[in-house]
Amino acid sequence: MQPAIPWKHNVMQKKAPTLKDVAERAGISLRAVSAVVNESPSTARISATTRARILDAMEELRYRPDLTARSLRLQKSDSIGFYNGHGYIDLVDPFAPSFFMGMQAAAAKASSSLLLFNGLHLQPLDIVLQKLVSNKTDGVVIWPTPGDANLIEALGRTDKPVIQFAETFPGAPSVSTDDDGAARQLAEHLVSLGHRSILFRRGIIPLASETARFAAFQSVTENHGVRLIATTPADRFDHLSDKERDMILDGRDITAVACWHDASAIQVLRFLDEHGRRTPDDFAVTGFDGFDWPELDDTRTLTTAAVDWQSVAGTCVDLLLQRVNGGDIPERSVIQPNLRIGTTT
Amino acid sequence: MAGVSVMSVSRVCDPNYGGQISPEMRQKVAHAIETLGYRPDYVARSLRKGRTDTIGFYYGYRGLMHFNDDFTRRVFIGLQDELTNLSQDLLIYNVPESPRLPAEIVRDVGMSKVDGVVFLPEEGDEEIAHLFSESYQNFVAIVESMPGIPSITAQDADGSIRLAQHLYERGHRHIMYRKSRLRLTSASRRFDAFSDAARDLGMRITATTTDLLNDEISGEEVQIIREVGARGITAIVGWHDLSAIRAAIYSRTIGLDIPGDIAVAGFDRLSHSITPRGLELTTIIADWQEIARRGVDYIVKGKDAVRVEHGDLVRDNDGVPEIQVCSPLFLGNTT
Repeated sequence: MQPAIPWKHNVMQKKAPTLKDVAERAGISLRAVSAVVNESPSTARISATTRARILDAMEELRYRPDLTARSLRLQKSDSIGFYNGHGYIDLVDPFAPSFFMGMQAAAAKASSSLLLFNGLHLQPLDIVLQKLVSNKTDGVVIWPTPGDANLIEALGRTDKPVIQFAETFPGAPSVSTDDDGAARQLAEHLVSLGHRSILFRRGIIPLASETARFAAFQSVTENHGVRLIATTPADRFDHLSDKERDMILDGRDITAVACWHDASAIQVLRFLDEHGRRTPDDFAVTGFDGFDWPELDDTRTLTTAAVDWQSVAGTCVDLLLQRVNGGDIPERSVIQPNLRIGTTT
Repeated sequence: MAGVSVMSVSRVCDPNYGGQISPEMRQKVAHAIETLGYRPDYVARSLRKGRTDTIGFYYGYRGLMHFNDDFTRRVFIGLQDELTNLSQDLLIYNVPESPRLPAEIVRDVGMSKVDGVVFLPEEGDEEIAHLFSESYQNFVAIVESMPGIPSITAQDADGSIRLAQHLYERGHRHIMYRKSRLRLTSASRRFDAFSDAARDLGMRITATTTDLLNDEISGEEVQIIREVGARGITAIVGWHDLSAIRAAIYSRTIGLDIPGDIAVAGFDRLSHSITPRGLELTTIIADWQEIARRGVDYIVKGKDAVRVEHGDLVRDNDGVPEIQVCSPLFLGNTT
């Protein structure tokens, strides 16, 4: 087949090297080479030296497998998608860094890459839907807001493996923390300390997690005949609204401020510091998350529900991959937080 | 099934046609996606379009992004900003913790079908960087420059010269320079430029290195800092802020006043939790966020369309562009 005419030979040289060329160069069977290049399960039986020889030959010949074609054949992308309904991964508080690292580590363990979808939250539902179910990824971790309820329901009706992180909207499996149980414990704790009028700082977005924590506080305080006043902060950074400032400064009979998450409690502590109020003497303060904050140290620790968000996120990825590989996974997985009694109550 | 034409389905599934489709049509198509299990084939689509609208990000040989440091945070924020502006997805390559051959890593990356790769090299990543640049036309290194590879960096050399001039103007004539233990082009460019500038200005340099992690002060450095007065050293420069802050903290613990007894300066202006309250380090501003943004720009818009602003330096090394983002002097209270 190969004519010995020099110019023709040159043309042949320019052609991309094939798997066969690699096998010849490495002096190793085509089957072994193909196994390594295609990462087939039988690769495990190939020794490290043989593997190295094959990779060397690939490099010498500048062999590049046709990966797009391969991916079409296998219908597998070896990537996990991450869709975030907030539109932006905010790194100002420790929440995003912590779950992001958990996802990354779990994906790395499974040799999967992470695909972050950007700017999708502003797109209409069908566009988001078709992008998330596409073969760009093997499955998708979703960090939803209430605005994504329809999306989750729609995704639940497809066979695309998806899982919700931290939230429990109906329609798709989730890994979250025990928002209800831990919030109940915090509420019982405040009630047992004698607080009869508690301010509850909600979030500005009614996430499933946020709503569950608030509902738990409502239920406990109602049972004990304790007054619960709900407020919302001025912005998404949990700065205090004018109303909240007034309510706390004029004292009334509020003796405790319970916050739906730590970041909100930290803003309260800062505010109390600025105005010379003391915890827990003037006000008890509770959070939810259990992060390390610069405002806290050995002498001041926050009473909170400590959640291992890194492991919640890691479990999300593990279960998602289990589902991708055809396994069954529970609809609701709950990682228990630890109640941590600090010096703020 | 949905009772709409194939053309409409295909349009609904292409974000670029987004505006022309009625809400009712969208509803029908979304319904068909659910009931028929229709899956848009993005891989096939990108073969047709010639682009995937996805950028790869490769972060050092060890692969994981650790957000507990300000540097990684800023790089990530920059990437995210620009990707959101340009409606691009980001594929972060995760490299298993076991050491792997660079060729294997590049091969894995190739599987993922991206339009190009932004690469943030670590020490020892030269080989993999070259494999990348041979495999991908659209490839750019950020933060660190490497021969033969397009890059977007801070002004490591020019920034360091600015710092040397500033210290000279403040009357310093003998400076201790804390070099990096890492073999990074950024670190060596900073030191080389600083010491050349210092020599030209007639200043003396006592260079030190620490083998300790996180730029902790070494035994040798303890000795030198204890004797700064006797040796005539009046300023300490760290190759980056963390190194300078360590020196500042140690100087204070032995009772030295900053900047009265000893001036301290760094490079990058990152925030570090160990910074003592009230200490504002004199440093060079390295805008990592902007550098990451330009990296995305380079891949999405192409090398001729990358933003260049006043104060930036652009070099052409035999056809390989290098953009150095403006890195001005920040005057703190330590010099």
